[in-house]
Amino acid sequence: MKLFSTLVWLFAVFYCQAQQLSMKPFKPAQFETTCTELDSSANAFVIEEYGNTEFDAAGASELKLIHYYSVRIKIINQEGFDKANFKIPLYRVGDKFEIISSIKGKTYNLVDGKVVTTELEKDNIFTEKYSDNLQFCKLTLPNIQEGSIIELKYQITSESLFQFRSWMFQDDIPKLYSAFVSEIPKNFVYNITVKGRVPMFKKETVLKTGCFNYNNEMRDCFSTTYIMKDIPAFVQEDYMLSPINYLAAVTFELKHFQDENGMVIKNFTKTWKDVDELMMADASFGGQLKKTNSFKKILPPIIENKSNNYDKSKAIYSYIQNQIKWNNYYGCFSQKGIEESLKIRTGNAADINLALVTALNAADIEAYPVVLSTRENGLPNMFHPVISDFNYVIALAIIDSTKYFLDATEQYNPFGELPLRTINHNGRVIYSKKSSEWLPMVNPRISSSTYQFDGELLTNGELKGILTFNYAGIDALNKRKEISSAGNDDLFKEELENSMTSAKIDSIRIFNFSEIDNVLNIQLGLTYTLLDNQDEDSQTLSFNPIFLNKTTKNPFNLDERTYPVDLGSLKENSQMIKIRIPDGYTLKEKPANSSLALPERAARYVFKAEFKDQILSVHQSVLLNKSLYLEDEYLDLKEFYSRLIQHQKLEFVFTKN
Amino acid sequence: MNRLLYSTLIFFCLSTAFAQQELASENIPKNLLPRANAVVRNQVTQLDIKSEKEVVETVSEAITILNKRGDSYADIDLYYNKSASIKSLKGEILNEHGTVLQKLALKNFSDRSITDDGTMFADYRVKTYSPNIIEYPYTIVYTYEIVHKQSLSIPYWRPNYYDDVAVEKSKFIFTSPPAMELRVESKNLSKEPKIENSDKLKSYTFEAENLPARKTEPFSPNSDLTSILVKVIPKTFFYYSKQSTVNDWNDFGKWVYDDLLKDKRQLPAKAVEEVKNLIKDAKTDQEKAQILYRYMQNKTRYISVQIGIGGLEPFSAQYVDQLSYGDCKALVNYMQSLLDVAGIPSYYCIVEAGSRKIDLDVNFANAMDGNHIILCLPFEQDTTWLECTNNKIPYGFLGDFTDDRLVLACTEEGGKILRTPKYPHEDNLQKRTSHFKILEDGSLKGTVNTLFMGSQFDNHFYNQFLSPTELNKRLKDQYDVDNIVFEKVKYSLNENMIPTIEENMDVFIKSYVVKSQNSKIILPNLFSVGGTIPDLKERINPVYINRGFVDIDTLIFDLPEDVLPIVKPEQKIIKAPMGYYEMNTLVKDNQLHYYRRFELFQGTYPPESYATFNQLMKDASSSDKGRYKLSVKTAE
Repeated sequence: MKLFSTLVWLFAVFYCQAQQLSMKPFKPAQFETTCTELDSSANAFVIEEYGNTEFDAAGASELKLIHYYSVRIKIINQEGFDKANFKIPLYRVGDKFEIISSIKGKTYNLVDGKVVTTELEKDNIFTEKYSDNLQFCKLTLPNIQEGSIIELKYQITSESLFQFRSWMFQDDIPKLYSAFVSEIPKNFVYNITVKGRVPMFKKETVLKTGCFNYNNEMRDCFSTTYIMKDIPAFVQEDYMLSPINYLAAVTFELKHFQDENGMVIKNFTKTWKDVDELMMADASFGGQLKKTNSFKKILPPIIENKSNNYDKSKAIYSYIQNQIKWNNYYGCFSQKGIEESLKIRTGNAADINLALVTALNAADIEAYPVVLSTRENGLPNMFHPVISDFNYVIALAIIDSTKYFLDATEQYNPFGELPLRTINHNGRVIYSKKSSEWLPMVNPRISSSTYQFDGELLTNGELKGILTFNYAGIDALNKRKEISSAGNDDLFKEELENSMTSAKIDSIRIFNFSEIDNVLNIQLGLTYTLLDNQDEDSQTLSFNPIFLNKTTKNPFNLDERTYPVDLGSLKENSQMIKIRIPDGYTLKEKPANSSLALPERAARYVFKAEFKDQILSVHQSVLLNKSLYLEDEYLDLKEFYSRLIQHQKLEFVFTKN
Repeated sequence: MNRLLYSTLIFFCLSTAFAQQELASENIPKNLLPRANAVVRNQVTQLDIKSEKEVVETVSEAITILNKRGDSYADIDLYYNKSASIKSLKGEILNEHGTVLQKLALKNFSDRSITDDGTMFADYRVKTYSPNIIEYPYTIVYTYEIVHKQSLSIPYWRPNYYDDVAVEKSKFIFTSPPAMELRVESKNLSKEPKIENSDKLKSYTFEAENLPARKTEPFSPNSDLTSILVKVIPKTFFYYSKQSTVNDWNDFGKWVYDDLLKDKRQLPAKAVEEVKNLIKDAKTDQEKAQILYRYMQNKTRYISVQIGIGGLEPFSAQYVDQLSYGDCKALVNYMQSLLDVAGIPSYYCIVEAGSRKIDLDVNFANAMDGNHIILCLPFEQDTTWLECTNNKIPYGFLGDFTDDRLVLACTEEGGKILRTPKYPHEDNLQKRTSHFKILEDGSLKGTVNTLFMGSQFDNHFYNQFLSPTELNKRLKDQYDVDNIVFEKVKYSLNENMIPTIEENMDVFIKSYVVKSQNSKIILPNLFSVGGTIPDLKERINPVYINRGFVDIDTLIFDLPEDVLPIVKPEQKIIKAPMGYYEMNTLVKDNQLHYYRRFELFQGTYPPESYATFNQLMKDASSSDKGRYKLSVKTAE
């Protein structure tokens, strides 16, 4: 499966003078530029955009990255006005923030055939210190009208060579032209990745001699130009992975520093082997895994009566889950350290899951950390290691040669299952003793919500009986969280009742709430008004026995689909209903039994009913047998749901003898 | 001396009330537990109004969090800026037995700016802390001191503002020099305040205790009608660089006008010429105002920048003229400057905006009421109101954002309380007429035409500005029928006194009518299936309907050849004090006619009437889902 095309550039070197890419002075003719061919419905579009990242050696020891940016945007209508607002993030690296300077903004308007220029004033540029690590430079261009062309230029200076800004070719408005030049001294080698589905119009690398003064010595640079043209606006769709995976961009990760002869002097990102070593040597990763002693005293009572490793692991998992509360921060490096976290009983994902790995190891159970990138953080680079892609860590336990993925951050997440955020194709297991490897992250368990009803229909139109909801997988995790946040069972019952019109809940029992490995059951004694204003001697009873949670909306209602549907797990939704029909009534009409399936059983719908001994039994089930559907399967999925919605409009009819 | 006295007093409160063992959760009175997610064990807010320029706010609070839903009540948010500085904070977190788990200090807090996406810049910041405690119940105890360098915008006391928080004890104390005149307002007090005067100090003490949590009930009146509220402001206050004496809204409006608005309406000569030119052919003032409003809508856009006098002072008209943007204050002030050129008087009006109608507190002039500015043109015949931050809406239209509520007009003569126009329920109209042909395969093909008016005007008004792709997406949400395709969509705006918008669409819906053995089943109410409201056993609050409306749906279906044109005619009428429902179905001339009318009447109804309301909604919703069976003709 090819989610995005990734190319690692091999430098094709041309020995010629690099062409300088920069925005040419504004010409009134640009008012005539349109983007109707590319996107006739755009509210604003980028006419041209240029970026340039260079190295600067101000002091001999202080290398800086300078990023020059300039853009010209045409505002077509009022809906595009917000494109005149800019919010530029500046990150802190070490103890210094990146610095933005030379900000110049202009708005051009055509008034009675003449160009009127309004300049952005310094007073109207704001720097907001958002948090300890993030500042925003905020500005808006003056005098915006329909048809205005705006222009903005600035430069950002960063003192860290790791802060090589990605160039985003694609945005939520179309761009006619976007060009980026990276000018990198020969001594610095970066891993460069091109993402997205937009073809590169031009990519060219030239050797630029004497471009960079280092220790009073002129060094050569590789100057690479990337150009894309006619880039469509990015439109987000439901049930897709993070847009970051699909946006056209070029990203840079510092790999190593080498001398004039190409000898590597200092490695930064490197091979997986190097990353493994680096992670293991880091005090807040590998350092934590060494703290098995912290568990020597704690463990014995926990695993005391457990005879095998599986039971021991579950007990340890459960201990960590309840001992350390997740502070809602991700991270693959420990924030507080596992000892401190155990003491103060709170920590980030790394504190918790590294504690889990360590505790398992302390009990002589084979376990390793698995670093991953969460779903909204985008897919990690599969071709070479990029440490900063990873933002989360879970545990892998191998028990009797079976692999279990464990995440103890969620109090109600069962052993061996994963919350949706962690399911993002692959995770990297760091073994430490052998080379790390990718493992696909999948939930072993289908995510299912089902219910059974067993009861009778009274002649006044009321259904009376026992309704049992069953939840498993991610659905169970979500439902347990919902129950727990209701405060108590009575309040949960009240909420449930409020959400089910026509229902009166006579009793509620919740089974397996704390036994999180088991299917969660919510059993209700229920009285449900199925038929309104039914009088005792009605000649007919006409109803749909799927009285709750009917599918009436199609979740896949787009006319066309650009990106795959990624659900994160298989899904099941089914009902099993038994209703005793009042004596004297016989079945007159019934919807046909039905069975629908997509090719290769990618999805299945079953509807079966029978009427025997005055009991109507109905079984309905919807199964999505894949967690990922490609874009060309979308219309099938849409039609599948449409057919089952139609089927659910049908009713059973009973008449009095 | 005084200072010492206060701090001893506070220390005394703290040390007696907040003894840790007493804070064990088992000491919470049992009657406070039901429905509570948190219990305020002891809370003391003290305002020492030392002078017009200095108010010291000291808060001591112990609150027990009973479950996860209560967690947010343990959060501490301390706002600060140039005129409010945080002097101290200390606290601790206790487990259910009252044993200390952790200590708190300011260094545990995170600090961030509070601008949101809608704001370019604001000079307020906040220091926040959220404990992360795994076991319930737990108690957080803290004390902090904030020094305010102004005395107009100082905290209120609202001990039982949140439904799901019970209160064991809460106290509000304010003190001032004896000579200082204070304005005090209180609502729904359960106990009279204690007022003490000495030659050094005047003090007021309000107390509340043993207040159980309440169930949150939908359709309840605004909370200030039922919950405890105390406000205090010195008659003569100091605010940023300004000082004034305010007794009532008249004075307040005068102050705003004189100190914050006056002299901000001069336009550059060139702009004045342009405006004069624009209106030179207009005959009436209404016409002129309309031209200028359109001009302002085209020229400017809304950008929020909150700096300067506590977010109360607008940027000048000249600034907006030059940059073509501003916030609500700046844009209203700019619109006024345009009207000045035409000699049309206008009032800058402070309003509490939002779909829920909230009046200014008529009896207590203050700077906290109101979050938005609109413009009033006091024409003799027809007072006109303008919303100046919206580039799209018709002249004179407020919509449900600022309709029917008391606002303050800040004029040269002083503040005037005015009421914005109310749209009577019959004007809040959505009238839809659909005509479909049922095709052989059960698909529907036809037209859907809808008129939107009053508070329903903007249901679909903004659709017309969307790109085709976005419009298609939006319509699929608004007309949530599977397989619906919008083939032609047109909008026409009619700028009457009450503006209307009409939506005309050609629609195709694949396989809507389902075949079942010998019949075809149709659910004729395609677009207006009403929702229901929760079934509450005991209703405590009155039933409050914020805004009434009327929805009318008429659908006509041409029946296909292969079915018998017979359906048992049906009619349903439900009348209730707060609403009306009517539904009719019949077959005539080979057509199925469906009519639905649903009305809700604005008003406040006794608590007992909730059951009637619930029944109305339930019956209507159930009727809305009605289905009809068309028998297929059998071959002869």
